Formats: sequence, structure tokens, C-alpha cells
Amino acid sequence: MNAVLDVQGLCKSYRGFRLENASFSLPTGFVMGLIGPNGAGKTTLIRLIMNLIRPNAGQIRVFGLDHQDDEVAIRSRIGFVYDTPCYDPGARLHTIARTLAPFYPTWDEQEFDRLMCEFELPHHKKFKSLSHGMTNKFALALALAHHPDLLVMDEPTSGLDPVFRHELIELLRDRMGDGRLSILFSTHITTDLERFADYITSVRKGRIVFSQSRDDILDSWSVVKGGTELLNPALGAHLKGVQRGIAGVRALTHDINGLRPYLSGGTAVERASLDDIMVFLDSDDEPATLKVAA
Amino acid sequence: MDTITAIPARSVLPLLWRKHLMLNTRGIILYAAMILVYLGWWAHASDRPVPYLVMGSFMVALLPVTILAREHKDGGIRLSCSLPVTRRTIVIANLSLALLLSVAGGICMFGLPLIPGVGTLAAGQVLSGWNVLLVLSVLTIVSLFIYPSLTRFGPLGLMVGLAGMQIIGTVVLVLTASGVIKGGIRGLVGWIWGTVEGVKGALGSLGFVAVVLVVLALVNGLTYALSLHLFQRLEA
Repeated sequence: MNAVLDVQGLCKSYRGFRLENASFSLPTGFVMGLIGPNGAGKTTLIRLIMNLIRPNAGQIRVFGLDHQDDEVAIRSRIGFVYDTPCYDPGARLHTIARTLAPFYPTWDEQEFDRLMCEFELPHHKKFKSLSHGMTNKFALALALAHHPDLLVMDEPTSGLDPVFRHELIELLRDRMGDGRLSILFSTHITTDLERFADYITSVRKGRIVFSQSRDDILDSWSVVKGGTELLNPALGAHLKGVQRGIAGVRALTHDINGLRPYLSGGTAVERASLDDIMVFLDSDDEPATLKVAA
Repeated sequence: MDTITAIPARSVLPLLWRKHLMLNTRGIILYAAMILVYLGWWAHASDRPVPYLVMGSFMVALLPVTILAREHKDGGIRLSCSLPVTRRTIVIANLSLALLLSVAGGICMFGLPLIPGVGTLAAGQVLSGWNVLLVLSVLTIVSLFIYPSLTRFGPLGLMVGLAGMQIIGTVVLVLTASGVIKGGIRGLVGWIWGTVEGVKGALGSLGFVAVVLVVLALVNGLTYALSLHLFQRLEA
């Protein structure tokens, strides 16, 4: 399978933060969601892919091309939605679009107008008068108007109401019909990932926890609910983010088969949701005895 | 994989200029009007062309600064860096736009004193090859101090560049006041002027102009190289 994006051994250091040895691959025509808590390294990864910052080590190939040597050809085919708006606040939307359109040989003015209309964005409005959700919609209209082959979005659904988030996902699904468009997006909203992402890459404290297909992830992680037998130190290697609460002990496991011999009859095993995976993994560093589930 | 041919770098330069000019129209008009009023007042009040041209060049050199400093505000530089252009092209576009605006400002600066009712200087006093060389020299020196740090750090870089010029000025004042440089500021200017005249005498007018132009070209090359070096390290 052709990879539209291939990241290998990527490292980037800042004061107080290190992205370490990040590797993952996005096949052409699929959607990959990046999840992780704030400060995990999602935006750093996206900025590295867009060549906005320089890696300390590693390689990024986009469309099979080196992301630094062929940055112009690559960026012509990428639609980018920023995490924070970077358009001139005093400029009108049509002025911003007119300044950016000529950089893209495939810019489609009719498509841009259609998207502006669909997103209910008036062309003459000044950028600074847009709400947070509207700025995201405008950035998306700009990103889609040149028919990109890869759409890279940093938190595109934050600030959007659930109805528009749903519509947005439908719109992007429509765009993916011909199998040419691939999407990489970061988000905190796991329901969007469950609905839309084919692949999920989890980033935590600058490391890739997993990068797999959504179905593989949901099939392989389970939530175990039981009594204090789950606090047995022998199970430590099988359990993550053990939480002790009034109703008993809960934990996440990636190895339910290895765990089964230790489980008593009263232990329940459920398929983990992405929310569960994020929450349990996020709390995995702290000692289990200190945590009390809500 | 199929590829889409990106727009050639040469064609991108006017697009970057256009983007800057469209997004900064009001700022450029306001600052240009301010410079015109200032130069007009000076052209009317002064009977000495050299101070008029030196100060005018300084102001004209700052005109493109309004655009480039603003790009660093509101994340505009990240937008530029995510467009399908190289950072080298962005630096070339910024510096060449600065050159174009400086040339436009320079034409106004030389033209204003010649407008009846505005200027008191005779055409011959203003329009001379030496004055053009003087203006080019001031623009080049100011650009060297301002553009590399401005390109990398935005408004903060502008402050650094201007502070650098202030520090050099302060050092010169201290050295003249302490007697290290004999004859004070007047003596220093006289020494520079004498040196220039000496070199001119030794090389002849044509040779002197050629040497100055080569030096200016080298300094501008240094400005470009420093700007590019710093901009390529910018984490957008």
C-alpha cells in the first residue's frame, strides 16, 4: 500500500519537552487521527510534517518525497488547517483568499465560494469579527479550495458545535469518495475519531504509544473491572492506569488473554472506548493506590 | 505517485509582493503619507541637501519595515512558511520588496525639493551622482542593521537593530568625549570625509564610484546571507 505520509525516527527537543523516535505511516486515501493530552507533542508533530520546524533527527516523506528537499511540491498538494488563526485580523475574508489563491495551481474559485456559502461565511467580513468556530470553518474552506491530496488539520473541530462537527465529517467523507484525499488530524474529541478515523496514533509525553488501525485498537484494548485481586503486583505488567474506587478496581489492559488466568468470576471485561484508552493511559504514571475513580 | 507542478520560484516573487501589499495597504499609505509630509517640510525648511538626504534615506529605509514587522504579529509568518514556497524565496521576496519600496521612496525624496512651492533647493544641489551614492550607502547600512534581525525576530528584531545603531552612536560619542577620537563629532565627520576624499583622489571619480558600488553590493549580499541564515532557523 502506498503511504502518503511516512514518519521514521523523528526527534525534536525543546527546553522541557522531547519528541522521541516518532514513527508512523498513513496509507493513501485513509484518515489518521492524532490523539493525546495537551503538551503530548501532537502540534509539534504536525509542525514538523509541515516543515515549519526542523527535526533533530529522523525522516519525513510525504507523497514519497523528502519533506525538506521537496517542500514546495509537497505543500502545493497539502491543505493545512492551523491550531491558531494566522490570518491578518483586519483583512476581509475575500482579500485573504485572493492573496493565497495564486500560490496553488489547482485553486478552484467555485469550490471556495461553495464552501464559504455552505459554512455561512460572508466574503466581506473581517477576519477579526469571526467567532472561534467560524475561523476554523474559514481555514477549512481555504484548505479544501485547492483540492489537496493530503489535508493536515491541527484541532480542526475544537470550538465547533456537535451539529457542525457531524456535518464537517460528512463533508470530508464525501471528499474522500475518489480515494485520493488522505487526512491527518489531531483532536481531543474521541467521538470524532471513532466516527471518522481509519488509523489512530496516540502521542503521550513526546512518545508514540500506538499507531494502528482503529478497529485493531478497539479490538485489542479492554477495560477490566473487579475487586482488589486486580491490585496483585503480579498483574502489574498486564494492567495500565489502575483506578481504585468505591465500586471496585478498574484498569486498562492490552493483554486480556495473558490476564484471564488471574481473573476471578466476579471480574468484568469490556471493550475499551477511545475515551477509556486516553484516560487510563494518561493516569498510568501515578501509583494505583493514589487514584480514586469518580 | 502523480505530482502537481508547483508555481516556479520566479513567478512566486510577485505573488508574495502582492500578498504583502494587499494585506498592508492601509499601513503603507499611512506611513508613506507621514514620510512625505516630513520630507516635504524638510525640503521646504532646509537649504542643505546632505542632511535632508541622509535623514530622508533613513525614513525611507523604514517604510518596508511596517510590512515585515507586521508579518510576525498575528502568526502571519507561519502562514507564509506554510505556503508552497521556500524560505529562501520568502527572504528574497521580502528584501526585493524592501528595495522596490525604497526606490519609490527615494524617487519621492529626490523629487520633492524640485516641486515649486515645496522645495527651496536647486535641482543641481539635489540631483547629483554623489547624492545618489550617498542615499544608496545610507539605505544599505540601515538595511544591514535592521533586516536580518527583523526577518528573524519581527518587531523585537527591529528594536535590536535600532538599538545596535544606538549603541554604536553612543560608543562614538563616548570616544569623542573622552578624547580618543580627536576633534569631537565634527572631527570624526571631517576624518571620514577626508578619507573618502583621499580615496576618491587616489582612484579617480570613476574608480571611486566603482569601488563604492562593489562595497555596497557586498554589504547587501551580507544582509541577504544573514537574513536567510536567521530565517531558515526560524521555528514558525
